[in-house]
Amino acid sequence: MTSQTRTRTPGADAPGRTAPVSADRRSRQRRRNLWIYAFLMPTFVLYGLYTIYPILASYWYSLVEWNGFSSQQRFVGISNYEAVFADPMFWSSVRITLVFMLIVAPLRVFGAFFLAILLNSPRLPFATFFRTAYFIPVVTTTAIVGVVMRFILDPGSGPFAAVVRLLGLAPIDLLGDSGTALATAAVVYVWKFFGITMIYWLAALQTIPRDLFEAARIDGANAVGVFRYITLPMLLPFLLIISVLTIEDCFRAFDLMYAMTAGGPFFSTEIIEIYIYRWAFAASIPQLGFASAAAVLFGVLVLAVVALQAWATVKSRAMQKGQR
Amino acid sequence: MTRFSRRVVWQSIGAGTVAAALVACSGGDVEPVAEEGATAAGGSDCAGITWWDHFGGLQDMHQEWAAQLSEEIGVPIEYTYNEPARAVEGLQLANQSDQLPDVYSNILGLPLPALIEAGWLHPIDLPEEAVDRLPEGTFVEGITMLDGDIYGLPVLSDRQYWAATWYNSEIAEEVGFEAPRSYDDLLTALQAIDEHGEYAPMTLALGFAGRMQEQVDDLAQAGGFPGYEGLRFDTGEYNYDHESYIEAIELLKTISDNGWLLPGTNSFQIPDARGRWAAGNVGFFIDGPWSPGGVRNLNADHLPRMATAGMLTPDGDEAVITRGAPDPTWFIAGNTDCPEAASELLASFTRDEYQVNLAEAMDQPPINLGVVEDADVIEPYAWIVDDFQKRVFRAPQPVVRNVDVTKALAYTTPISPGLGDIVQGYLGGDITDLRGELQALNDRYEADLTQAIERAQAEGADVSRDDWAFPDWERGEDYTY
Repeated sequence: MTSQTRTRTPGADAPGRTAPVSADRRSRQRRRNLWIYAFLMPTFVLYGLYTIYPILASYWYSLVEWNGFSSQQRFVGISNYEAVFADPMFWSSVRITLVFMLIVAPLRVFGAFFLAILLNSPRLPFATFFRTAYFIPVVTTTAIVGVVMRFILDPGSGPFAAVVRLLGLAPIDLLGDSGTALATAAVVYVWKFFGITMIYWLAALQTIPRDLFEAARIDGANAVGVFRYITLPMLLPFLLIISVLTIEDCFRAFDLMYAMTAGGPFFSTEIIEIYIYRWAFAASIPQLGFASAAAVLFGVLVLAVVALQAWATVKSRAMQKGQR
Repeated sequence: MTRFSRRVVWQSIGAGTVAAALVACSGGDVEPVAEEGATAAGGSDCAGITWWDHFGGLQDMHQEWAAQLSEEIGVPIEYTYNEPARAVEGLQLANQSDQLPDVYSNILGLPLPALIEAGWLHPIDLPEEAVDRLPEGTFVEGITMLDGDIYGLPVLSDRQYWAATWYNSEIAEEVGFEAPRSYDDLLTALQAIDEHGEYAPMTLALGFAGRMQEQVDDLAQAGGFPGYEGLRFDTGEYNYDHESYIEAIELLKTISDNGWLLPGTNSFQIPDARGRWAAGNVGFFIDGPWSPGGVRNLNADHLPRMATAGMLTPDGDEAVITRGAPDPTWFIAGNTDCPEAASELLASFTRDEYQVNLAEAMDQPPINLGVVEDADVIEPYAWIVDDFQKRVFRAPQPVVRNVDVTKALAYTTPISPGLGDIVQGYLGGDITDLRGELQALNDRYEADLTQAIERAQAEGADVSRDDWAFPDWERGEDYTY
């Protein structure tokens, strides 16, 4: 059958004889498109319901006063935005979010980079085992990691407390001290999501042609030289895109942070997501309009990073083309 | 045998997925099959009652009561417990998705009229015999009733305090201290435990700002603050920087700075703190009367070790506590399909049998405090309930004098940082100027109440700032209007 449809009949392109064939092809095309849309429909519907609609709704909620208890929503214009801007706790949460990102992103990007280089070495035994081991925290449920880490770091009875006692030190409450809670949460976050960045780097490393390394070795280059003059320049375009992806990822730390500290002690780990949650759900009288305004502003911040990501993607492609 | 091409298989899967998505998005309500007689007993469309509450110490009892009443009323009753810190969120989400439980406990922050207006509540049809079983003055217009209809059922006593000092009697015996009465007594006992070296002197739910706020409010009132929750009864003004607040917070600060809090206390939520206390290695724990009930759920072996010193005062004077009229404990959802069955369930909570069960669960005391005498409870629980009857007096309430006050209260907003946050920050060293911070808290509350009154006035409510002042209030006496 396939051979029949592919056989060209002499004169088939002639005017007047193409119509039935084209109509048949169009019909087949339509049927095929229909199935494509059918397959895409669940994604469209679910994405619309659970992503687009909540985003649009939050824009509306940010303009109303609503406690979530009553059906009455009072339009207040930009009052909620003014209130958010005037709230020092909002700016505190912005600062904490940015500080958290500044701690976490470099650790993830550069730490994962060096580990990926190590794990990519053909001389390293059990490389697959180590790759899996470093990736396991990524697939572990974040809230469970948060709860388990609270037990581990419990200054009274956890394994960390046992080590501290063994060293003859006084109990150290890493998560209960506002001076150390954010840094501790950041370290746990890095450990939890380190594997994703490592996979990015490992994928990037696979794009470097092997013959480049072989040629360098034939020319007498040592390991440092290969790294300095081949690996590093070839990975530079990826550094940009991986950095931006990681920065964007760092804004999503709600589940881990909430499970570990719930934003405390005394708001010292209250990232913007927890600030929004507190006003939307944890307040005695929820302030959904106010929380939505904060969420929209947070969205603008993330949007700025997405714009950076788009720029990084274009720049990265241009750099890759330049290398070729 | 029919053979399917790969395309056909994929097309079938695609079609199936679309169909499944359509079914899921259409709501797909599958009506539960009602037991025989359920419809007649509960209401025209009643398929069963859902019942949510946040009373941790009552879980087992309520599970059994649900089963018993299900048989009596003739409709299935599904009981669910929600942890207090999550209960508001649960109800809020349930309301927005039109899935409110038929019966739920009161943990909402809005005044009764605002809840009624928003459709959260259905009137409760209580038979006369049920009303008669409750103490006189249980139902108050604006708090549990509106225009003569009952909307909220109180089954827990209004005569209680929430910052009771619980201690481990075995540790007391071993270390050698008596039940403290004053702040200094407590500090002496904690020091003795610390010097003994084997036990942690104390723990608190310091990570839960709401609980810390309740406890400091109580300690301040017992210490002489002429009002409640920072608001003076006599003048109607906020006065969080009153000396009794400072003294109560400084007591906690001293305990914290001396290293007498169990390591980790700074971030403990209620289950964390109570769990450590119930383990038996902590000397003191500040908690409400519900502590024995909560402990029994965690480690019943700790119950015989529990003892209480009641409410401490700075100098060991007699504590005086004031509380308003009983708040609603139970509501019926405004959109319930089972108003009759739900009312029957609520009416059952006024029975002596339930009230005794409530006492024996050793959570918050029952509204009929008299049943505690004959209930099977540990001695410290009976003692503290007896103490409530001696020390807790009826407070004046703006809403009782003027129902329009609720219209202003509906416009108040949460204050952040609140008293509990300030306590947490001061103990952790993030706040150094306690008095200044408390004065700023006064200003935040005052500004919020003022804007709420102005908005209510603009809508025609007859309410003013004077409604909060009760110059004729006398400490240590039940207030009458």
